[in-house]
Amino acid sequence: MLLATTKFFLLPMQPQEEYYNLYFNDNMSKLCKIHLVPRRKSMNNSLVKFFLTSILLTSTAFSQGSVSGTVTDGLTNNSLPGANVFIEGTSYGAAADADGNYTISNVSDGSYTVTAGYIGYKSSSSEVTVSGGDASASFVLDVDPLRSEEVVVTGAASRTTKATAEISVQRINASELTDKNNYSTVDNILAGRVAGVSITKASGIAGSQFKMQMRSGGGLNGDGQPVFFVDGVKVQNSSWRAGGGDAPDIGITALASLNPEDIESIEVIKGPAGASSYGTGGSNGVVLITTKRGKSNTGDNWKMSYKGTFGYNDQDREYDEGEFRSYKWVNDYFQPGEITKHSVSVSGGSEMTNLYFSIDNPYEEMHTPNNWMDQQNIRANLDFRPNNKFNFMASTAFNSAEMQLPGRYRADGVFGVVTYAANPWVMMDPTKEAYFDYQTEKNYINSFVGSITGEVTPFADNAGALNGLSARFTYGMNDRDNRNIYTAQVTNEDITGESDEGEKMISQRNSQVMTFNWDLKYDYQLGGISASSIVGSQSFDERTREFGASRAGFVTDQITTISAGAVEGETYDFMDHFRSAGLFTEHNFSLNQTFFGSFMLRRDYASVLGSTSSDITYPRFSGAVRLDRLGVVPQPISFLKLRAAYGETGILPGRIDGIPQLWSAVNSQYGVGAVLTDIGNPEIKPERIKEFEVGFEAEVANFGFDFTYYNQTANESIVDRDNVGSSGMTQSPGKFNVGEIQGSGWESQIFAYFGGQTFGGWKLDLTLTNSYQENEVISMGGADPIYGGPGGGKQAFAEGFPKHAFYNDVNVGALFSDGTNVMENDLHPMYDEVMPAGAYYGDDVSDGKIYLGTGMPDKIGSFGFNLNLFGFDLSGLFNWKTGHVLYNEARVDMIWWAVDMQDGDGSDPNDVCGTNVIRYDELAEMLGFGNHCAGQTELTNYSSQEYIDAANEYSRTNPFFDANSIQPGDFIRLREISLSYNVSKLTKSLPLLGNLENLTLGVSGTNLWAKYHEDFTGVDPEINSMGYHGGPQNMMQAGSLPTPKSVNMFIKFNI
Amino acid sequence: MKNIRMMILVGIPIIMAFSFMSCEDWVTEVDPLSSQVEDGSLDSEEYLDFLLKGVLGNMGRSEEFSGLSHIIWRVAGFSDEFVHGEVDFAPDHSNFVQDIPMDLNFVANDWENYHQIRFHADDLLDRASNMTISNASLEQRVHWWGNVIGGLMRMYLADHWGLTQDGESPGAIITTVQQIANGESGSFQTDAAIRVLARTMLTEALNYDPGDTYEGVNGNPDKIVWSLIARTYLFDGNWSEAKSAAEKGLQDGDAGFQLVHTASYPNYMWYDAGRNNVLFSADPRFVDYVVADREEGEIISNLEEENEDSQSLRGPEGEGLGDADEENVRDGLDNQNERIPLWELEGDANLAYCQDIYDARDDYLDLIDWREMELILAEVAIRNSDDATGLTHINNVRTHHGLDELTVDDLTGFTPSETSGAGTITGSLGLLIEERDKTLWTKGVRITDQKRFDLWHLGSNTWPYIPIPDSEILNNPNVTRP
Repeated sequence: MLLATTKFFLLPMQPQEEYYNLYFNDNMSKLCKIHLVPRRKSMNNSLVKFFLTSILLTSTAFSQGSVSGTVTDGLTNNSLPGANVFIEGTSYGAAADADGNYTISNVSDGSYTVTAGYIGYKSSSSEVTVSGGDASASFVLDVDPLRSEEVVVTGAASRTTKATAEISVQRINASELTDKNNYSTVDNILAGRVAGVSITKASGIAGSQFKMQMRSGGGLNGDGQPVFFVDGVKVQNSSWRAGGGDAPDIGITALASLNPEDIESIEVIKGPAGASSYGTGGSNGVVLITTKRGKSNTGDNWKMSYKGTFGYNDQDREYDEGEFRSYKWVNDYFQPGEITKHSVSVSGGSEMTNLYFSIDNPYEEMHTPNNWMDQQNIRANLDFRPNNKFNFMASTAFNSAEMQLPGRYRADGVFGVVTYAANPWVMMDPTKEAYFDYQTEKNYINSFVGSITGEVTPFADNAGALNGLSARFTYGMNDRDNRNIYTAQVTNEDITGESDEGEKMISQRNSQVMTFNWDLKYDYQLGGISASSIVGSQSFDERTREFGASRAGFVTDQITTISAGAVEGETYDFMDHFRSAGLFTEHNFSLNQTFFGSFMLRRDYASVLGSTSSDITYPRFSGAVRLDRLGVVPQPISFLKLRAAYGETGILPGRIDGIPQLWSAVNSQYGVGAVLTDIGNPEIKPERIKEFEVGFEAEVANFGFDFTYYNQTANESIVDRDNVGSSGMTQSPGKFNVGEIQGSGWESQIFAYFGGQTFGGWKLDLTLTNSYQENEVISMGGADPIYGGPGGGKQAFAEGFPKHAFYNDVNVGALFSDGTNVMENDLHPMYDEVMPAGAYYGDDVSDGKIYLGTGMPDKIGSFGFNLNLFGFDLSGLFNWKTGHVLYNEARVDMIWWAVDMQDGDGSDPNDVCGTNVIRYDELAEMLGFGNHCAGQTELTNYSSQEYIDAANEYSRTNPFFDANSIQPGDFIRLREISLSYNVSKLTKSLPLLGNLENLTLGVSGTNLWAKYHEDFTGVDPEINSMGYHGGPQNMMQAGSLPTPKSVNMFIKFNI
Repeated sequence: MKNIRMMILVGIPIIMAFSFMSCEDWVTEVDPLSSQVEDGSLDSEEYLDFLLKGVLGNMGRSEEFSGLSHIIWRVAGFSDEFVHGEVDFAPDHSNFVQDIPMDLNFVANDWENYHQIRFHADDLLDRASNMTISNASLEQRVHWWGNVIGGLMRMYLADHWGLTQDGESPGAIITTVQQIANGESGSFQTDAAIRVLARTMLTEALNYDPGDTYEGVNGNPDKIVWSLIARTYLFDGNWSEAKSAAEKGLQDGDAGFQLVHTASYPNYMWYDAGRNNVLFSADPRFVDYVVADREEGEIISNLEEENEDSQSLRGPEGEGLGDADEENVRDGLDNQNERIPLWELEGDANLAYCQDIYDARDDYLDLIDWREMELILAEVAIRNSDDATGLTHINNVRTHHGLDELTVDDLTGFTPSETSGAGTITGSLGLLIEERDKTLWTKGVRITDQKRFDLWHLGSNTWPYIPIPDSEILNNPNVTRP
């Protein structure tokens, strides 16, 4: 007898993708098959099988032996360190060492199926017999270009392997990436890696907010932000920066508090077809972050890992006189910023309990002064499995951060000013002591994310129909405290050239999200169909509390408490409480593991004050077929799956949008009085977004293909429509369900691998990601376009144009004395025609609005590679975005504010009119429009072609015209590159170092090279200082810091 | 087994059904709003004073695009009373006025500011008229302020706005509370029609007494109302009614109608056109006025060093009297009734001059005063060819400011200087215009005088009033721009 008493086995049923079958026996002759839920597996298939096996088995060996062997890559013949090998149906397993060798000890006599698995490779099994001694089984694993065995999330309560998923889900194995590079925040991991997803940072400041644009943008509304879940807990990616001191729009992301080193994987569901089971929360997509958990093989094996990173951030490139007249000052403003990061984690456990514990201390100075963040992260993830019926998982993470941000003059403080003016204020003079120190803004942040998840299979021991019943719940909390302190220091005129009595504003924000999810699942058979039915719920309770106070008039810089300010400023407090809940039922069917189908219904509820509860129902239908299993697919196609899905989600109106009028108490010199502040619509409903997607995944030889086409339609879109100004009721726009928008696009990923056994074994993995999207506002419900953006009217939601369209007046040239104006702008539909007199004249505008492009790129893509050669690991990622434009406000500022500056570029206080090369000024001089210091000769022959050309160009260069500063945003960037080498083989025999496993040294860099469109004159087209806003106020660039380049060295090892 | 399966599958919808009900209740059990109140909750007498303070607060606000103080500042800058910036720093005034795209924010924001102040006054009256108010003084106060601010805003709408660039369509649009409730919008009305609406409200205000609960009235509620009425008649060209109303208006010695300001809610004319920030600095002709007659006011300089271009007599040459951080030097001047007080400072390129009528952040802003009544009476007399009476009223103002009295010859023989605010208009009317220009500087009436006397300072391709913005035209089906 191999096993005594009741034992549990986990064996694969059919091909290994869909379901695991849990067997238990009280003797070997009686096996009862149970479907084990195929969901919520955060690791790859092999690991999951191993875990579950180890959970459920208690063994008592009689005659014992071992199983040993090697795990190698079939392509390179190299070993695969860390590959997992386990005995099917037992908890026995081991991880391969640096040489690919493994040994599973204490194996009782018997015949077994031994399986080896490794991320990115197809699992392989072998039959072995242990009989009083040792047995061997070696494995040669084939590359899995599609990673089809990986388990992915397909709904709020369902998971399956990628090989059978009916929707498009992209999974990023973050732990692979953090092994090779340094990521400050989670968005840096995502950037450029997810097909159809554009990520834009608001700024290059520490912890800058970012925006994710999913597919064609979904509905007309929303802020473009997906919902983030960390281990099942909703996390607010709030963007907050307290008011006061001309607070910039650039916020900091709450996700900066999540330690990238703790992330195991990230899954992204991009559209309603996939995300409808998340209800309204899924309207802008869902990002599911799973953190690392403790791993044990045969129990009591603990592993400590250390990774140390040392590097710097710096200006990505030097600017020249064509970009900023103050380019020398701008370049001087940048400085290298130190990066250090120490990450220690401990992982391991016993059969019953697993623990992952990590501490992390990243300190990162950015590329400009007074801009850094210092964080402390602690995480403890505990798994507890007392028996085969219960499984509890607790996740806790605490982050304490201190963040110093640049000042607040304009966009990114000093940078924002220095870039647009040579020397407008002495306070900006870098020769002055207070240049960098005048303003400070600090954030002190404490953030906690914790959850407990329980899984119960109460009838796991039963042989009857109830054994397919399981339940799961997650209760979690995200609590974040952010104390923001803005200080404008007392300055002395003797030092700074300008005196200031200072200002201080202290703001405190607490945000809290409670998550409670539960679901019941029942797996059953309907004839030959394997089915499962789920009922479940998600509920979220969200509170935000904010308080702030400011004072000015500090007479001394020695006492900095706010009470030392003589002039009382604004004091405010704010509280918001919002609840939402969704109930869903989902039913899945599988026939012969070849045909798959499911349908889902979800009903959502949300808090709306002053009106009835806002509720809406969303359906989803999906199906897939594995053609390769039908025998109709010719060789060399080894895998081909077709899939289609339809789903709906929505965007809720705001909590107070249903209240007709709201009044606030506002203080004034006459006392506190009632003032109308918000105007709502009692009839408002959620916007509904529908999506159909169809796609396929295929594997052909050493290539993998993943393609998805989607079509989105949103109707009853909520349109902000201001009352007419003449009503006096324009304190807020009204909300109406009158809009409609359509979008479509495709996403593709091509994977390829090449390799051989020469050069000691080499392997090259390539990934090419591409996507295209288009969208069009179909209806604004008869409303006129909604214009937004700085200065008003740069971008629009207008019928017949894409969302965020630049729809602007175009200056086509000067008006001449003969009353004609030859159209010279080839973008204009009346190109080359003679315009009537006065239609366009210098700064004047007429009804000449034309479409100049959209802020959303229509094509985004990336190319990633990973080359293993001579033991070195070289990987990199290029990404690009094309087909979009942006408003380069820096150019406007540069011309507008510095047009008459006497000092050239700041390099010499006596430098007058010598280095100004701004074309606008040259033209102004040539046309006799005042002394603009360009040193050009005035043209006096007004009929000469030279004069006419200059006049036309002057008009088209005029910063008053928004269109003159709308520029292509196309770019390609080398986002990441890293080179590492595992020196363990070299240090194996050395004292101390020989005890370190996987000792790896490496160097990595981000943003080391970029190429922008030749017509773009800004610092970084990927920076969008208003990028986190919804509405047409999107895609603009002010004096925002560009992304830094970063170079790091790292060392890592295990003990 | 089938039964169990059936029970489970039937149980799922039952669980769903119960959960539906609990969800609906759960999401509605949230904390009420702490910072806002619904409109209907304010419909009782106990909230009337709270609402009135809101009306006054809206009028008194002094942030950008907010409050009456900003309106007076804006329209003064839009007219030829100020130039933009420190003379040649930043775009010049011509550009500032010419380049008004119809969707430019500041135009739309100003338009909304005018109407938000008006709306709050109208809303207050609407509520008050639909309830029985037991507190008599409260009722008086509410009706007086509601009607005066409603009338005042209508007057400014008529005076400052227009529909077409050719200057032929002065006027505005008013959408009432009732119209907006019915989904309707107002239509364009001429300036004259809107002044009739203003007078109706102002006349109604004469039936009430605001008492002294709020500052700014200075014990002259009726005279203030008649003064405002007089201005509307004058701008309508109704001389006889203007005269009649002005005679009932503020008299020499009466305190004017003022907007209250404090350190926290500063005077915007000081804030952005005074010593604090010369976003708008004085048109150079005001310097010329002072240089031509140094009795008009002192030009105080804060130049650190002597400057040969300085026009001040009390700057560095005056022993540093121009230090703004010292106690207010104007307190020590002999003439405490200067008409054109100026502050000289050094800009990046040139000397700049800012108004120094309001030299402190908490100076109350004069909306209308007795001097304007005198000049209205003067104009009516001159229009009626009674130069002698006109001269008397003009001299009443001049003597108040410590200026020499003018003679009939001065009046009839008046020839404007090259930079005079009277343009090329000679004789008694020209003199009157110049006196109005000097006396009523920063009162928001110059733009209407420019219109009345055809004195627009820019080219024919510029707007002689603030254009009703596209945000109104495009969204109001009752209005098109010809």
